[in-house]
This record gives sequence, structure tokens and C-alpha cells, in this order.
Amino acid sequence: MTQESNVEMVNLEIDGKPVRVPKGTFVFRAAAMAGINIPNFCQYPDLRPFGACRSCMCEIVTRRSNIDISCSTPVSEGMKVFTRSPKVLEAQRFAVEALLVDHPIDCPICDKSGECELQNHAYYTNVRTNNPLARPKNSWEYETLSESVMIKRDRCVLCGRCVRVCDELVGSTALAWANRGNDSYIDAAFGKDLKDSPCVSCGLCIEVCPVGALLNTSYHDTARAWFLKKVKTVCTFCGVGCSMELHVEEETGRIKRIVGTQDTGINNEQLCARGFFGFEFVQRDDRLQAPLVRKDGELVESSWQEALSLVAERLPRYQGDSFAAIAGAHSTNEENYLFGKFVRGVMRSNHIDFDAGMGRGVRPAGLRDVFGSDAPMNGFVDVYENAGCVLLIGSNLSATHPVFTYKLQTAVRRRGSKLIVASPQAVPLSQIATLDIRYREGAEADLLNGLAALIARRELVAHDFLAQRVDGLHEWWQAAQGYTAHGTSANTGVPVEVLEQAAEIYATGGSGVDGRGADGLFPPSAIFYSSALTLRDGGENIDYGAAALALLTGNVGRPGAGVNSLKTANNSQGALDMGCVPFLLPGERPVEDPESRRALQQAWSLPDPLPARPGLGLEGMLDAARSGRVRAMYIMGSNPVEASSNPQRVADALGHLDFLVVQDMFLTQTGRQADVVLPACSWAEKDGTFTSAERRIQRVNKALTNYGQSIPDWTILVHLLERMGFERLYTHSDQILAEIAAVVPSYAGINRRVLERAGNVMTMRPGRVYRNPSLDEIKRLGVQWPTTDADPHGTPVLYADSFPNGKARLVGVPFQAGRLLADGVYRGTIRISLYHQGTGTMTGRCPTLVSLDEGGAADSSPERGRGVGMLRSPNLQQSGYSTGQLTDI
Amino acid sequence: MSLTDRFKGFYVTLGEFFKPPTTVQYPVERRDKGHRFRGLPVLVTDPHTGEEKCTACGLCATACPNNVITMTSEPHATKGRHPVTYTVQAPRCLFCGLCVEACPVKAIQMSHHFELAATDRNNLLYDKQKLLELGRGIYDEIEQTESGEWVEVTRFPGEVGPNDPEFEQHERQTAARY
Repeated sequence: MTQESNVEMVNLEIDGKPVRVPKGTFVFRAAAMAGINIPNFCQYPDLRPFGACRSCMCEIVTRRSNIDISCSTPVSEGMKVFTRSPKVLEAQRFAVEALLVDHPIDCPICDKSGECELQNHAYYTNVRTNNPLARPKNSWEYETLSESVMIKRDRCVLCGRCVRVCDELVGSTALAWANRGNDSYIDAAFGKDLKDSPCVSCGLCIEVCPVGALLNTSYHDTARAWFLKKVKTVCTFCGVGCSMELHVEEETGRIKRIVGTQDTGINNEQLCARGFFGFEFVQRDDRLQAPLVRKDGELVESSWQEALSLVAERLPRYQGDSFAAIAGAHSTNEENYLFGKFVRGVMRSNHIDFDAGMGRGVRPAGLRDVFGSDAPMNGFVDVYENAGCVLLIGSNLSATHPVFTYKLQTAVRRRGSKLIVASPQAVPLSQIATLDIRYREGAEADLLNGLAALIARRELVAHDFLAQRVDGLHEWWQAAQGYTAHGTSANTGVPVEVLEQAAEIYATGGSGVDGRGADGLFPPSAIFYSSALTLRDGGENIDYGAAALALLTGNVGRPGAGVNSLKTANNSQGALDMGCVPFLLPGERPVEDPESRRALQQAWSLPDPLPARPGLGLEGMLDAARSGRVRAMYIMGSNPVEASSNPQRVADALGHLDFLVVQDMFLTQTGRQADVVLPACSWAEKDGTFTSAERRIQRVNKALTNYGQSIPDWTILVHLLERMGFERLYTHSDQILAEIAAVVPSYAGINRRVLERAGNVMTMRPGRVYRNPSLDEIKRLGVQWPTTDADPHGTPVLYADSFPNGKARLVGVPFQAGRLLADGVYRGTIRISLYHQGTGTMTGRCPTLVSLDEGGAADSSPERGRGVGMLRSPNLQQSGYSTGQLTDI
Repeated sequence: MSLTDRFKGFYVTLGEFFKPPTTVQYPVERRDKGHRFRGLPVLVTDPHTGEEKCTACGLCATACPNNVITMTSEPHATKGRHPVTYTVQAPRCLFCGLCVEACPVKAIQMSHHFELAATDRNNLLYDKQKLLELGRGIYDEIEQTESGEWVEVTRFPGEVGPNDPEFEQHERQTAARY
């Protein structure tokens, strides 16, 4: 990934220190690399230089105009720079004094106090005079821009970071400057409510604001920055796996806010609304405090002793095929692994599944038939940095995997990657798409297979790749040649010209037919879709079509390419890897394979062989429960009733069970059906690992003490196993991780040290320099499986050399005229919202997310505690702290 | 030791015998605390609005060397923010007064409350209500010093300013007592 070799380096001297940096780096960044801090406001990593605040002055003695702003002066050979000379200090001092003309020094009631860059700069430049002009300060009241963002404009230094991150990094353009000169201020686009703008409430503007001008409504006035303990962890909602920091007030033990951390993780400080505001559920009053046991038809609070004894006594009666279990897509790898071990080894049943989305289990057919695994092949950052073309199909990734779409739009707008968005409805990314395809609902499979046939006809295929690494080309063509351009067009409703255009852009990596590189290959093209798309009947045809497209064009096993079917929940991928699937053992080994079963039996030191027949999937279990074949169920961190499009049917099936145990944070509709409900901890209260949709294994750290009597899911299982007569094997989740590393081949060599090591991957970051990306370092936490014992550093790109089954096998889908099925395809699926995840058990309990989701104008009512002058125009009243007098501070 | 020394001692005793007694019949009678007496830090109410002055900026808690003060805050219509809970753990307090120095709005003052004995440790946790109760009657006043400078002075209940007619008599009484 590193391209350092072909980068020209420049030598210069900063404050007498020799520095060697890549050509094109700005003086500011070169100084930062040398460990010299220059005060600044508008400079921000990843943004184009702006030069608005004029406070990052430096003196360049080797030039004639020697005082200049360091943030947008590129380095040159032999440059001599001084950052603390008297001339520089005077200039910096003037810049800070000028900012204090209107800044109300209301630090005691400002949220930013303690982490404010204006405070730091005033201290650094030794400014002691408030308001040098001695005129009344312009004062503004608090204004609520949306449910999530407040603004206090008199604190603003007009650096424009918020406007620029919104535009350049998030792609929303929801904020803007209004007016000019002395009258300018930051406002929502067109001066309207932020909710009417394309704002995605990601909170990045709040995070990057150097002063307390943009404020987080849920954090506002509730804590002080210096009392917060910061715990690094990973988000618990979607599959992107963003790194974040939980800020916990030490005295009260309450979680106060979440922030992204700069230069860390795949998200690099960017979060979405769920990540930024989705912590309020953790300490809600309706969390389960103690175990509930059904007595005389009512769930009543009881002790752990009683509840666990009851479960340990009842469960062994249902050993074998009358027991089924549902694992949690939001639980950690350790918990899912232990759960699988419990179900397979102790309860001797293969009926284990997890909710892959909309209350449906994992489907056996699909990408696994083609490649041997359905894991996404390329990482988000890999695609962001290398892809020539990205094809999105049928998924609103802006709602399901928001942070990935931020990366994607940056790649499109800065690197010029081509983006094809195929979707039945308009999605936010359609606006920046090179080609926006609107097809008939449910015609994804036809569209993809049709495109593949078109590419095969136009001879845009990678012949060498097909010959060496792909089987079944002939059979595939037999089936696929029925897909004529006109037939596909008739089935999908997409004009023939558009189809041909899409085929060409995809096959040539956006570079046109003559765009082959020196190696004879086109630039890479990647395919992305949400795996929820393939959960319906016939969904595997979408997988086959996507795989055919990628294999025909050789877009597999190279950087920036791949078929990436993104799993929806934060640990769906992990649950699958840990074998919480009826037909797969840990490590994606098939249940039918006697060798794998024997190996697992040995690893778990079980006396009897593991059950050999694949179990029932989630829907199958519920049907079996209704017919009485399954009599007991154990549900960990899942809510099939609310997830299903037919909740009554699922509730009814669960009602037929003799015994139902539910482990969850809240009393959900599923929990209400249970005989025993065990309170579990949230992600902020436990250690463990999550595996994101790009196969990245990342560490989750405990930030809070357990709520009430709740304990982590794995601890519940350990206690339960102890009561069932097994020896206590684990006292910390790391011990389970060690066992995973030994048992699951793709996780070999994983341990805490490997995961916490700050991966120093060199990466291209646009924005450091005007037009070209420059090299820089981001700490990528975690590793992407498969890892090996010898080198546990992970594999960013799958199948670079070979496939798990040796060769990939193309699967053809015969053409069927008029196959369409729009009716009922999307019926009953849960509404996809940026502000909700899955069933909303967690997000539905976060007041900020709920109010963002409900729409309507920003609520500035006093009931929300925000009743402080909601004004749309400059208000020149004097606020308490803006005395406007010349005072010495 | 000579005999005269013994009578010298009695002479002092005899001299004190005819003066009013220095001993104060505590707790029936209480001695006046000096103006700068440092009792338990308490919260002060604004005499004009009747609300507590505190804006929950957390500087007292930050300045406190013993982590005596804890608070939680929420937005407030006029002050910007205000404390929801405010706790002083009296057993830990060393009465240094750093919290008072740190306060930007003079919302916390060292009171003259010093009787901190309790039968239960929980009774030594002073919450916002108790602290406001103890801080009742404490207010700031601007007065002119002899050099003509205007300074802000804190007044405690029962204490009178120099402009007061009773002031001189009060001073005399105090002087006579010591």
C-alpha cells in the first residue's frame, strides 16, 4: 500500500531542526512531523488548505516575503523556517487579539472550555487583553440548528472547518457561511432549519469546531471536558466498525458523549448519527436490573442464583434436536464463540443461527458457492484508495453503512473514481454518481447477470484470469447467453444504452476501453451491496451475478476490487466466523465435513462426536417450534419478534415452546415471551472483539461499571455452564480469545497485543496538499482476517493468490423473460433509517436519535432544556459575560 | 522558684478575675468568628433573583485538592448552565479556600459553619439544598477602603459593615472581649 519509493523528498530546516518530508507537504505539516506545534484554527488534516484564520504564521528567512501562513505554504528545498521568532509572535498575537474583539469570554459556561483551541492560543501567544477595540461585543444567543446541533455564534472564529468537513469529508454541504466581512456567520444552508438540508447529523462539525460555537445538544452543559475519562472502543451499530472514544465522567460513572479520534481507525474521526448520539440507551432506566423468572404467568424479578439454577435444571432435558438457539449479531466474538460451543458441545444441537437482518437467518447459497466464503474481499480503505470504479447495487449504504459512503464520496470527488449507483429509488449517493441506474424493484439479479453477459459479449473480459483461476465458464455461458441486452432491458426497465454504458464503465474500471495500464489490466472495479439485499427468496442470484461480473473482469484478489457483500450489524461477520450458523462450524468449515467436526471435538475435548446434520435456520427453527419439534430455545442478544415482518407469527411460535431463555439488555417483545430473562451488559460495559463487515477484528474496551445486576453475555454462559456441572474455564474474555485463536483457522495468532498495536499503515490522504494526495500515517487498529500464527498482521485483500476451494466456480442464472416480482419483494421489510439500527432496541431508546428520526422542525422547547433564545437574526443584546469593557484578564 | 514569683502569677489571675470572662458558654453562647474565618464552603444565593449564583462551571471541583466537590449540570435559561446536584464531602475538606478563589461568579464562599460532627457519615455529605441553606444571608457588597479604592467584600449574617451606625459599638465590644 505504501508508495513512498516514488515520492520526491525535500529537506528544510524548521526552528533549526532539519526536516525531511515528501514534496508538496505544507510547512505546517512538516513542523508537526518535527514535533513543532504552530497555533492554528482553520488547518485541519484531510482538508484542503484554506488560510482563513491567519494564526499559523511562520517566518521563512530564505524568501523575500518572509512572513506567511504555514498551513498553505508548500515546502521547498533548503527552506529555513522560524515559528517562534519575535516577528512571528507579534503576528500570531495580533490574530488572537483580533478574534477576541467579539469572542465573549464565557469559558465558565462554555462546553469547549478545557479543550478549546482559542484558550490554548491565547495562552501560547500570551494575550492578556480582552477586547482591544473597547466596543460593545456582538452577542448572539444559543440557537438550535437541529435536534443534534446547537450554535452560539459569538464564540465562532470563522475558521470554516465545519463548513469544509461537511462539504469535503461528509459530502453533505449542510452548513455554509452567510453574509460577508464583519457580518459573516455560520448557518445551515439557505438559512433554513438544518433538518431541511442534506445534514446527516454525523456530528463531525461539532467535533472539529476549535471553539465552543457548534455544540452537541445531548452533551451541552452536562459535563466538563477535563473530568472525562476517555476509553477507546468500537461502535456497536453497523458493520463499518468505526473507532471511537467513550467519554465517561469519572465521578458519576455516566457516559457523557462519544467522539471519533483523529488519525485513528478506518473512520479517522468520522462517525454517523448512530455512532455519535447512540449511547443514551446505555444508562436508561428501563434497562433490565435483575433476572426475571416467570412465576404464575408473570415475569417477576429474582436472583441470579434462582434464575441460573432454573435454566441449568431445565435445559438438559431438551438436549439434541429439540433445542434451538439464536446468537447475537451485536454480541462480541467471544460471546458468540462460547454460545456456539454451548449449543453444539453441551446442548448437542446444530440449530443455531443469528439475525442477519429483518429477522432472517444466514442463507446457505450465494457467494459461498462461488468463492468458498461470503466474506467481503476488500476493505473500505483499500477501495477508497485504489478503486477506479465502484458499483453499488440496490442498497442505501448511506443509511446502513454511513461512514463508508463518506469515504466513497471523497474518493469520487477527489480521486475521480467512477461511481455507478443502481437502485430502485433515489439514494443520497445518486447525486454524485457517474451513472445513476434506476431499475425495477427486485430486478437486481437480472441487472447483474445481464451486465455480465454484456461484458462477455463485448470481449472486455480478463482472459488470463479466467483461464487460471475460474472454473465453470462454459456452463455459465450456457446459462447466461439468454441475457440479451434487450431482454435484460425489458426485465429491469433500464434502457439498453445505459446498460452498455454501465458495463463499459465497470469492466474498464472507469477508464474507457483504451484505459489498460502498463500491466495490461484495467483499473480495479469494486462491487458493494448490503447483504440484507440477498436475504429474500432468490437472493443468491444477486450474489451469482455480482460474482460473475467480478470474475469475468478479473476484479478479484487485487487492491480496489472485489465483491463486497456488507453484513449489516457490527458483528454479523464475527457471528458467522464463530460458527453461529446452522451449516457452518467456527472458521466457516461445513458441518458435514467429518474432519472439521473431529478437529473441533478434539479442541473442545468432548466425549461424544458433534452432531453431523446441518441444523435449522432462524425461520426453520420458528416453524419447528410451531410444529413442536423444537421445544426449548435460547436467545442471546437478539429480538426475532420485533425484527420480523410478521411479529405476531414469531411471537406465536415462541409461545409454543416449553422453555425459552432470553438474554438481553432490555425487556423486548421477545423477552416478554420468555420463561427466564437474563440481564446482559451493553457494549460499553464489557471487553471483547468485534469483526466488522470488512473482516477487521477490533477490540472493544470496558468503559463503565455494569448496570444494575447485569453481567456480560459470556459471563452468564460461564456461570450457566458451571451450574450444569462443567468446570469454570474462563475468567476473562481474553482467555476465550486465546481459544478462538487456536480453534478458528482464520483468527490464528490473534491476541490482545496484536489488536491493540497501532497499525502503521501508510496511506494516501488527499487534502494535505492542493491537488495530489500525500503520504501520511493513520493508526489502523485491529487486523483483517485471515491471519496466521507466523504473521498475525492480517490480509487486506482476500484471494490474492488462491481461493479456499482452489478455483472460483461461476454459477449461471438462466434468463427468464418477465421474471419479476416487484410485489412483495420489499413488503414488510423494516424501514431503513440512518437513525435506527435493526429493531431499534438500542437506537429507539436514544432520545436524540428518536427525535432526529421523527422529523419535523428542530425542537427548541424549554422541556428539552434548550429554551434559550432561539433567534434567527443577530441579537446585539449583551449577554452576561460579554461586558464589552476593556478589562485585563 | 521564689515566693514572689508565685504571687506574680496570682496577680495576673486576680487582674482577670474582675474582668468579664473570656470563656464563652458554648454551645449556648457562640463566639463571633473573624471575617476571614474559613468554615465549610457553601453556595451563595443572588439576593436580587433568589437563585443560586452557581453556573456549574466545575472550576471549584477542579481547584479542590481533595476532590471534595462534585456536581452535575444542565442547561439553564438565564445563566447558561446550572448545577442539578452539588455535593460537598465535608469529611474530606481541608478548608483551604481554593474553591472560593477559583469561582468566577463568587457563588461559593467559606461560611462560618464549623460544627461538622455527625453520628452518621452520610450526614456529612452536604447536598445543594443544605449548602444553599447554610449560605443564606451571605452576600457581596462594594465598599470603599481607606485609600479610596472600591473593593467587593463578602458579608456574613450577623456581621455589619463599617458604614453601619452599630459598627463602632460592635468593634468596641469585640475589642473589649479579647
